[in-house]
Amino acid sequence: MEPLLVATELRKSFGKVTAVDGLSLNVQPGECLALLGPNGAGKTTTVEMLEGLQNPDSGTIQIFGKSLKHERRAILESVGVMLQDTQLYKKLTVRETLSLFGSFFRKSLNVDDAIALVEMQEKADARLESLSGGQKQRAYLACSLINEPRLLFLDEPTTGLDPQARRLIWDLLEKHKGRDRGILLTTHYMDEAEKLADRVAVVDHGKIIAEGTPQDLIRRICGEQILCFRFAETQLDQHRPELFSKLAWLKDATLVGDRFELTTSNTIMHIGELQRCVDQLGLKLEELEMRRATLEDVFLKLTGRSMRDA
Amino acid sequence: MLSHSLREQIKCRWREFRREPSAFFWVVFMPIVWMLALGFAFSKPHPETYGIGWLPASETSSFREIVSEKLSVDHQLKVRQGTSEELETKMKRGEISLMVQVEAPQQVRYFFDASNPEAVRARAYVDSLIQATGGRFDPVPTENQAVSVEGGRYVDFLIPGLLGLSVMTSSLFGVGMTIVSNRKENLLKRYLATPMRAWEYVVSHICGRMMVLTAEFLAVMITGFVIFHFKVYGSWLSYIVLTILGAAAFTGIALLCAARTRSIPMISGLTNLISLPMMMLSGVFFSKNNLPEWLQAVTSFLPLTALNDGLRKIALEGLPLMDLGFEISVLGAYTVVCAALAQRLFRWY
Repeated sequence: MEPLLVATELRKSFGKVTAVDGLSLNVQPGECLALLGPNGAGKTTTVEMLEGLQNPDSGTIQIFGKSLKHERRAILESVGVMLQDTQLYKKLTVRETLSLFGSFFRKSLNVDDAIALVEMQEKADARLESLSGGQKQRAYLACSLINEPRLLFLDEPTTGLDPQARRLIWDLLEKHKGRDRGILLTTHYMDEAEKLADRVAVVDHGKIIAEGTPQDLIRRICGEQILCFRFAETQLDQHRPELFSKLAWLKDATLVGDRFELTTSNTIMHIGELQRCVDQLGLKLEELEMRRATLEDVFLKLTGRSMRDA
Repeated sequence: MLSHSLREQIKCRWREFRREPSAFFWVVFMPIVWMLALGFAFSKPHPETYGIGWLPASETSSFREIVSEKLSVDHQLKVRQGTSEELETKMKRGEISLMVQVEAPQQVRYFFDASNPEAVRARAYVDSLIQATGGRFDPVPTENQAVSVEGGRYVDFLIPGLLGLSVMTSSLFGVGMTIVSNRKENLLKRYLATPMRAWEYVVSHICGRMMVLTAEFLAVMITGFVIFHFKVYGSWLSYIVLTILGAAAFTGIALLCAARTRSIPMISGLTNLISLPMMMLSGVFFSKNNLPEWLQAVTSFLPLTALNDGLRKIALEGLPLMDLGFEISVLGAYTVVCAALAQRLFRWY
């Protein structure tokens, strides 16, 4: 099948700041692609170029096989968009808001059906100002689904929502996914990407630095497991040269504070070696733990920074 | 006739207006409150009163006693006694505008600010009293007769001015604020990501303006008819056409102010900057004939002046639209120039 979206070599600068730096991506029918990266990585600029809200300095965008530059209005008929922090008219009811948005498209869902899609039947006649943050976001999602979009852009759809509201939005999106529909999602939440995305593109400084399914990325970049350990205070500095010469793999570990984090697929061997070494040198381990690697570790491994600090 | 999306957006404008009680209050009730307050305050003219200071003299005299007695019983005068320092303080506070000193035998000195019109009138009034006391005889007999021609009352002057003011404030604030807050809240950007046509958004705002305009027009005019028996001597159609043209000019200005602004304090400051001088200089409450000549020449190019003058010429003098060439050109120029610039500069986000 033909991809829903193909973008090649997108570039965009604002003054001296390069927001997007030669980024290429595609979305296949039935697929959810997540752009994962810290705030300021260029995700929003990328999505806004794909939505036709900003013009790229260079690069091409094809949606449904048409050029976005030349057939923007026709393309937008089948595209759904959720921007970051949008306030809809607070004096309108959910039903009125949906019939307003529905009127913008040549073909649109029946308002009641759209309300049912986001499970807001009881709140259909409530004004938006009386809704909670999660309910507002669901109403906004319904506005983006009113034209039955083949391609849905979601820019940080659950930022600022409580965990329960986020899970509800995820369930609704899970239901929306279908054979010929595609989703492009930006997020800085690992769990959101892991939950929704079929494919993740890790974005940093306006570039995609890694791409693949979440499991694939974790396995390829981090191995299966993360081994974390910490020596008792002050011991590390004295014994650093001996440690590094005895444990050749220690240089591959990332130091987070005074904690070593090693990504590995052979945890048992490394724990054995570590134990022997500690005994020989008379050191003491304060902490030793093993956990499954996450996308957070992928980002840390690729950039040396944590997503939250970046 | 109207596309589906335009109809929906006009409905949305109407709902926004109807569901915002404060908007309704400002638009409909404020002009009425002004009209009632000022209309009644000035409907029965009573003579002006003056506060004057009675200065001590170095020696007393019988003439001084007589004048003091005369001044203190006059209904138009409020006489304050005191030392010259005390009286000067009262003058600074605006309690008195004139100080009088009567020296023996028959010598009167006035102390006042010649650039203060009230002080000049107070001096003339007091002087004529004192001269009469001193024995002046007016050789020509005079008689005062009150005139109240229809269309010549203060309230007749006031009502078109209030209509103009109300059209100005509601157009400037209504359109400007809505667009800027829609932009700030990313809603305009969201619209841009739909196939909706930009002109439909603008046209919906213009239609919204017409609805508000109808409400404020009816509020001002009906109150004027019922309570003050206001009468439009010229054609009603001309009166309505000119009101609409005025609203168009102010909507154009509002669109221009809101073309790129992203912050609410910025747009409200800008709107105040534009509307405040007009409120004072365009003859809303009082005739602008008291302004210096050069300032009158400048203010005649302000849109509110053009609107107020035009409305008064139609309502009070019964002139047809044809005779309002200047006013119509001014309003038309603001509409066209501002709308064209706004269209050039407009940013969705």
